This record gives sequence, structure tokens and C-alpha cells, in this order.
Amino acid sequence: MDILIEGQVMEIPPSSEPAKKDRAVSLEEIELDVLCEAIYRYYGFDFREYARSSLRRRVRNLLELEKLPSVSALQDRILHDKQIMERFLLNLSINVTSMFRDPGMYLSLRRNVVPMLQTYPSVRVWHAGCSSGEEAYSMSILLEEEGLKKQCKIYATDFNEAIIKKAQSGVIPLSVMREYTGNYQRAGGKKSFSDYYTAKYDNAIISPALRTPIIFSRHNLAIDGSFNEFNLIVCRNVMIYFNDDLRIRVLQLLHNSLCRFGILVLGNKESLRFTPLEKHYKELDGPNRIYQRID
Amino acid sequence: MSGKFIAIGTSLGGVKALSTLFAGLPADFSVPIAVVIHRAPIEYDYLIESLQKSTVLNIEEASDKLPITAGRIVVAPADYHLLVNEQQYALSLDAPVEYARPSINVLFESVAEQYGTSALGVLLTGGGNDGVQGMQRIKRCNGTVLIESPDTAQDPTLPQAAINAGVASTGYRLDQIIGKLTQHC
Repeated sequence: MDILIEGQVMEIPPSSEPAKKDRAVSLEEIELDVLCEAIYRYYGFDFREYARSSLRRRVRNLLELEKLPSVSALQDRILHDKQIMERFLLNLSINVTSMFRDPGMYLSLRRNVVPMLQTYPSVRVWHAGCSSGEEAYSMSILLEEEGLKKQCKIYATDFNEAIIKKAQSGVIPLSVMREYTGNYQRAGGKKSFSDYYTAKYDNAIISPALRTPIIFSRHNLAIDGSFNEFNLIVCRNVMIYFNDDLRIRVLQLLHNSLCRFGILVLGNKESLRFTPLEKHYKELDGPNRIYQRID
Repeated sequence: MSGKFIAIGTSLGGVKALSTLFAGLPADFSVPIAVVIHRAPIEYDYLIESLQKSTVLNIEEASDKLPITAGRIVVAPADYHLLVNEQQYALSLDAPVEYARPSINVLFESVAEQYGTSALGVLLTGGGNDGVQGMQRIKRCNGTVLIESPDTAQDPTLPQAAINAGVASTGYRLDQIIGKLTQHC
């Protein structure tokens, strides 16, 4: 047996030498596995079934931001420093969102879905993965203009508490409002968009009346279950960050939360194609990914 | 990793270069191809229809979780990054990279990591710098890199940037690239 002399570095060969070229990548894969497992066990957030390619990119971006040399180093910081964990969550939950993103979808909702919703005495809408709330506020505007506001409740949920608070505040940088105005008009908006906010310094404050029908709360699609039955569920560009197993589970969760003939809206480049849920839906508007549950 | 995978990146002049490239590939070409071409996020640009005219191979725009299939050419949609996971394409709305979404770097880096030595990165005509880092990643993972010659590219900036960065010592004409792809795959 070798005697370890202080200051001398002992090289430990890996038990079975993998091809050198693959080693760096697979080591990082192991570190990512361990990081996700550690976060799940310590904080309860479950990223174990997130799509690896995107997760890897986001973690690498964070390593650069925090000036850390490896995923293991990040894991050490995350487990011992709550603030780093919060930055990690923010990094994983900030999704690009804008008011009336994909205006054609909102126009189609007005034409193809609203007439059906108008026949219901009460309408429940769920925005799953609402991020900073822009799309939930868009829905609130649309429902008001279509005379549905009184009988409507919008549940807007996200897994990140900080993002939910931001959404609740209804504060949006004024600089992006011009783009949103264009979206609003192309989405079939019936008024002047500026009626819905007041400008204050560099921000737009969403009108309190638009916030009334919205209930913001925390819900984690990867862990939590169904909590109500809805007439309309909007879950756009959330499942693109999940792997296939998690996506199918979440689709099933949304399915279980949707009433018969209820409407499911996905992101413009998401689809029910090749999923077991496909047969339970018909396309109301294919390109805009508006589906109706048929059984 | 199983099977080869070709990732192509281009911007200015890309539609013409891609059409020429696809026209030269045989009908039984059996390697999956993913393409990032910088495009504006307008509502409809007829890019897929236009490219489809050049080839009998099936071209389609990527949707999230689309299965990776041999001989099918998949193009990144406007305003989304395109990535690969095991057996499936993936999309992301993460911030633009080098001002681009879709970004060539994002596709190339994920292909490098998923396919390693089986990855082929092809960088064609274009401006800017997006794609250079991705080519370097493919090279580091011991994949193959091919650059269009700055002499024949409609916009030599991007191929030249890749050569200057040491990705490869020389570029090739499109017909030479076609030859290499057919021979490799």
C-alpha cells in the first residue's frame, strides 16, 4: 500500500477508462443529475425531468454569471446559499412572454372559442406557467372586451414565488408597450390599448380592473396535481423545457383538469401529435394550437 | 451515439445555398439534417415551401419534441432556438445568442454534445459571428466540420470568421460539400 506523503498529489485512475473525448461531457451529465437530485431533496423543486439540452445551457449561463468553474461548485453554493438558489430558480423560470404574444391565436380565440364560452353561466380559465403574467393580463383584456369578465375567473399559476409576485404587481416596462400595442391591435383589440394601463416613470401599471378576475398562485406542474375543473386551459411554451415523460404527465394533468368540450391552448410550435392524448382532442385551429377535448 | 447527424447553419444568402446543397443530395440520403437559418419573426415567409422545391427529401419546420428521423430535413422556426435531445428535437425561447434566435451556436453546441464524433457541422454563407463557437464545440467533441469557401459564399463574413478562428484551414465549394456529405453518410 502506498504511503501518502503530505503535499504529494496521488493520481486516481478512473475504474474503467472511458474514451477520453466523451469524458468531459459525461462528467457534466453526472454533475447535472446530482445537482437536480440535490435540489429536489433539499428544496423540493423537481428539475430531474427537464429537457437536458436546455437545462444544460441555462446552468452553463448561470455558471458564467456566478463565475463558477463547474456544476459541482454551483451545487455547493446552491445547497448552502438560499440567494443563489433563488437566482437559479429565476434563471429557470423566466420565460420569454409578452402581451398578446402570437396575436393570431388571440384573434382565433375571439372568433372560435368566445362564442362557446358565452353560453356558460361561469367560466374558469387556467394559465399554467404564467411567468410574469403578461399573457394572463392579455386574457383578462380579451374576456372583458367580449363581455365575459363578470362570469370569469382566471387562475394564473407558476412554480416560482418571485415571478408570481412580479406578475401580481402588474408593472411592465414602458419600453415594450409599443410592441404590445401592435400585438393587441393584430389580436382584434376593440379599444385603445393605453386604456388598460397608466404610465408611471419608465413603467406601465396595469389597470386594477384587469387584475380583479385573476387569482395568482403557486403551482408546480412537475409535482402538484389538479386543483379545479376548467373550461379553458392555456399552457404555452412551458412544456418545451420538459422531457417527453414529464410533458406527457403534464398533458395528462391538464386533461384531467379540463371539462368535457373544454379548450386547451398550447404554444405555436407545440403539438399533441405523437402523444397518447391526441385521440381525446380535435383541432379547433391547427396552426394556433387550439384544441377541444371531445370525450 | 447511434448514427450520424448533420447540422447546417447559415444566414444571408442561405436560401440559395441551401437549395443548391439539398438539390445535390440523393433521394435515399439517410442522415437526419437540422438547419438554422437566420430569419425574421414575421408571420409567414414561405421558407419551407421555397426550400422544398429543391429536393425530394422531406423538409419541415421543427415543432417541439418532433422525432429525429433519417433523411428528413428539419428547419428551426423563426424566433425559437432549435436543439436536439435523445431522439427528439427541442425548442427553446431562451434569450437570443449573438443577437440571433434561432441561433446557429445553440443548435451546433447541442448537436456536438448529443452526437460527439457522429456530428457534422456545416457553416454556409452569412454575416456576423453566430456559428463560430458552435463549430468549435463540434470540433472539440471530435465531430466533423465543413465550411463554405469565403471565395464562393454570397456573404463571406461568417465562413471567414470561422476560418480565422481556426475551425478549419480551408473552405469548400458547395459541390465539394455535397460530395463530402454523400461520401461521409
